[in-house]
Amino acid sequence: MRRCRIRHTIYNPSGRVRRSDEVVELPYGAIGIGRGADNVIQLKDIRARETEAFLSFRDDDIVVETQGEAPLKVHGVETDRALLSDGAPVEIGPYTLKMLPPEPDVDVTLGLEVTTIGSEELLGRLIPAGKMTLDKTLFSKRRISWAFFLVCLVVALVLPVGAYLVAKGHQGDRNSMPRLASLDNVWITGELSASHKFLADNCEACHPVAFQPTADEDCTACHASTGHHFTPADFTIADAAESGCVGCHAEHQGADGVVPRQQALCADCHATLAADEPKTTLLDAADFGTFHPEFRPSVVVDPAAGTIERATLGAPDFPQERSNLKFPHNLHIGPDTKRTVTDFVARLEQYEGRNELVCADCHLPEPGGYTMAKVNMQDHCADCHRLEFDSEAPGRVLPHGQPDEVIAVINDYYIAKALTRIEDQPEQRQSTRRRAGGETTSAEVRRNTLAAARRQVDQVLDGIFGARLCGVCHVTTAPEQTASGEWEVAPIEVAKVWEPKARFHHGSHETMACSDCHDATASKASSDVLMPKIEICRDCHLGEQAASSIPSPCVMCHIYHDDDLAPLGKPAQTAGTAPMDGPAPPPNDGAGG
Amino acid sequence: MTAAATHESFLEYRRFRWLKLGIGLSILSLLPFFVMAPPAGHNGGTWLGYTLGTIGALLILWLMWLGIRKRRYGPGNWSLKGWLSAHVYLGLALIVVATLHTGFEFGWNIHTLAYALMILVILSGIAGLFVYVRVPTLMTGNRRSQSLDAMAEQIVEIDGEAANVALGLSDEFADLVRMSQNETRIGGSFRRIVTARDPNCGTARAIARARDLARNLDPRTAQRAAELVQTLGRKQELVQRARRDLRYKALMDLWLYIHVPLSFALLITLTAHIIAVFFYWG
Repeated sequence: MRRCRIRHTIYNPSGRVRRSDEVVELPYGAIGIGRGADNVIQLKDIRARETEAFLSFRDDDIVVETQGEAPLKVHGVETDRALLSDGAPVEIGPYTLKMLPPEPDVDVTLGLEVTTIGSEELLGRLIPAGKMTLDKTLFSKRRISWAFFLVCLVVALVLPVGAYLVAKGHQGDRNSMPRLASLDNVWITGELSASHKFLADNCEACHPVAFQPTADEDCTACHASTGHHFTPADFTIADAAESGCVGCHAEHQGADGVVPRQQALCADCHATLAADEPKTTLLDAADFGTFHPEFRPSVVVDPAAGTIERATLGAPDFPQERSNLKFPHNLHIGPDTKRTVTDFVARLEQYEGRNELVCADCHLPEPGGYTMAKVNMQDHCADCHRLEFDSEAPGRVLPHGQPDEVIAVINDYYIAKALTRIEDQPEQRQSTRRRAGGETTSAEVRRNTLAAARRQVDQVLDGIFGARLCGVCHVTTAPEQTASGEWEVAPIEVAKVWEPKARFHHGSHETMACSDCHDATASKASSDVLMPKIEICRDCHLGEQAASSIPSPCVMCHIYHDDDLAPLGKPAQTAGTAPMDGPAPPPNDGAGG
Repeated sequence: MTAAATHESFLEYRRFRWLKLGIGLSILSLLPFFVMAPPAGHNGGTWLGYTLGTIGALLILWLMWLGIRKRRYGPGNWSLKGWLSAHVYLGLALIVVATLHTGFEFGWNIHTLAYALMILVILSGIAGLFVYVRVPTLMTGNRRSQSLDAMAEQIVEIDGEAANVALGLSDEFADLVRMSQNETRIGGSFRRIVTARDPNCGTARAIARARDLARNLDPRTAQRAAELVQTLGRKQELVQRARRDLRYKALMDLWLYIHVPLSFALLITLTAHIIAVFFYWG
């Protein structure tokens, strides 16, 4: 046995040092060093192995050998075996063992040092780098804020402004621009109207100068012929055009949003127009269902002078239309037909394969559907009203619409017929030859025959232009009363459109029967104006606020811009155009309705 | 200041002064919206639209000013409580003002983006209100009048106890104690803080493994091993409480992770919105 003093030194990371001594009896043979209770030299630290190493005395040397699991270290160099007597400290696990100078009362003195794990270090491991709050982690609010800010800055501001500058550099030539030039699309405030969608990639078309409102010139650059609503100089009321196109036409409001439809826009002026503008010929209106005058169709009252009169339907003094046409509807459709015209059904069956006419046999909408196509003799009348003039020449018909030609044809026909008759009488010819001075006789016969033929021609013409053919439908004038001394047929003058300032779309009403609106079967004369009264429309249409009818704002039937007036792009002139009484503008397909 | 006034929360500040003002602003915005009928329908470009837009933009700037104001200590003209009260109620009124400003026209553009960001900011603010009402109570219950620092110190103490218990056990147990010391984390990452969970927790693994090891031991050692398991169990319970404490603190903060960054996104998008509508004016 050897007596051994072990001087323990425990360093605490906080700087505190604890020292203690103990004297142990070292047995011969291998002396255990480790955490286990059976070791002679005990290492009271959790980091030490149960048995770290063995210490033994060899001659004058003290040898430390590793137990096997973990190597020893001398001056940082790993080794399985070390000599303590060399004086170098030997690292065993967390401990350092070294020989100290000999002391008289013991055989050997050893120093055993260890540095404990401080609570600071343990806390550091428990809460790494003080990361206890979210802001201390990678995702700090500041970082995320900057990230969001920068992304939005680029997408919402930098790229669109860049796109504008690129587009400006290419002077509006979209085809040559890179894709970057359309990145200002994120600035579009709403869907463009369908008619402007072709400009979707061309913001500069309407917004040529940054930070400048869209000007009327930007609109009239394309809409050059769009007219005023009235001639501003003729009235005291302010022209809506003064508030600029965009005052009414707001773009980026959806596919059909650019045309405003509120009836209030019209009612603002038209509710009290008669009082405010005595010059107007218009009646006040503000709502189709509750505040709209009875229709006032344009009626031809003097076809020769072309005089058209607007009159209120149903008024006691409502004029008869003088169109120079005789056409009793009741003899063509409805119950009266079969009763009055004996051969009507027979003719229909012969030409049409059915026993009654329908409206569409004569009246068809024009392409586009707004107005009805013109009725004409050739397509609509001639099948029944055949212009045959001589029972001996069935199938031979007179040319319609050409009175001079009719007269010529009748002349030619009957004179030729008379001449042929002379040839067909051989006895008469022989007798003239036998007679002396026969030529004179022959000329007399010819003259007589010609005179007889001319009388026949006059008779036939009287019949044709009179009651038999032309006069059935037309107003005709006998030769005694005409300046030309010939039969004359008065030209047909019907109002092409009864309501020139409203646009009635027949095509939109094709699911209805004609008779729902037009009482044709009871009409005995073409002087009847078969236009329905406003009540008929109101069966389905009321003002824009209508809840259980078709909401019908003013622009469903009326247009605002009158292209017959001065174009908006140019200064309006006072060229005396009577407002709202001008000729009918051609129906404008696609707008309103 | 009366005793009642000192306990008045920021929501009730000065008898709901800002709630009343917020409702007043909303009604003032709604009235003209329903009375007027602009030709092209309501949108941001009518004079009402411009007015509501200007009010909304100024409100947003003022609401964001709270972020600067709250960092300045000292009462100033208004108390921070008053500011917060106004922030909440005027922020809610902003929903009405800004929605009417849009005229209910939305699309895939930066204008609607600005609106959407604003709504998200306000919704996160409402979430923040609920957090402020609910979480502090949970937090107090979890802490049991022990600060987080105190909990951490106690955990380290228990580490020492566990080390002492393990001194007399085999290396396997000693390794478990060291694993518990070295691989147990409180906080440390965004996910661990918010979820209050660590699927790789050293202490949890040490307890499970120590239980396994203890099965095949002699009774004396087994008793010591049981003592170790119990000690680590105490540590685990404390660690969980500390994690929950961090989690609650994080919840108090988490809604701000939407509120603040989206506010800044809103600020620049709003700027872009205003620039854009006047850039391509008309």
